[in-house]
Amino acid sequence: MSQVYDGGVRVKSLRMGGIDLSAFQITQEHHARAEVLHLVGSLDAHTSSEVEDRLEQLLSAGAPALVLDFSLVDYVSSAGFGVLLNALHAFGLTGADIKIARISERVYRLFATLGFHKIFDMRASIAEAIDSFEFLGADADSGSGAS
Amino acid sequence: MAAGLPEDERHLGPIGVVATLSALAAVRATVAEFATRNGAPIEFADDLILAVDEVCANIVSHGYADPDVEDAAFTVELLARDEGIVVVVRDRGEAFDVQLAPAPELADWIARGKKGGLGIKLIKMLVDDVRYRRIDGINEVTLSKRLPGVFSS
Repeated sequence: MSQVYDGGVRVKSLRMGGIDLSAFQITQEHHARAEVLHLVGSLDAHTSSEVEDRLEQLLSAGAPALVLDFSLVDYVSSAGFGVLLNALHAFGLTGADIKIARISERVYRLFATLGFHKIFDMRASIAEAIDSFEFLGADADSGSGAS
Repeated sequence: MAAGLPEDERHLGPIGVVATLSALAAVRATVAEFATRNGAPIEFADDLILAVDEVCANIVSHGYADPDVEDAAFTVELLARDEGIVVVVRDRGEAFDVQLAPAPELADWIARGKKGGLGIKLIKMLVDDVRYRRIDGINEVTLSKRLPGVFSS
């Protein structure tokens, strides 16, 4: 039965031009009215736990409003969708809200395949996402500092 | 599909993959490259990549959930046919019949906010045919995705 594995190269991980394709990057940007997470990479079974951990931290810290910058997210699998949906439920229970901004056409199509484009509030820009949060007595930061 | 390519361009693998979650990106890149080279439209390729990724993620997370398994690995084989692309994934982990596995209704899944089951749902939604068989301790999942407008005879 070992011939099953004799087909060729054994792949461990893929690096192209020094970039590890399986890596995922999260940077957080604080705005007066919302936290913005810039996500870079593929949201799959390998990387979604990193996003899950960060979202849980923000939830326990009591973040009332969160924008997920999807402009550099090139892929989402069921694991990623699961994390996003759980976060939407969990934040919703605390009265907090999550928006997705700057999603690419290709990733949007994956959301639409599942009907998730109707569940998540998606905005064209980070500033628009921040402005769309409903706050009582919110201050004036419109998120213009977003990259 | 790929009528102009020589036969060896239309068949890739089986490629051996170490069963780790960090290898999934490489599998996706391989499927993407093969589908594109064989003329698949981008939406077709994206759907196929996601379905294959879900099959492989299941193998890593569930088929080889036992940490004592040595040399946990699986293989991916790609075949371009005139009517579409066929992907065969084989592993020696726990038996799991993806063909028979229940797929949740999306509305229920969303309402429950649970993670489990969505991968199975995606596989069944994104390809035209899913087949499973276990032979001599090897699980074999065959995914077939037809090009739009091409119907099985």
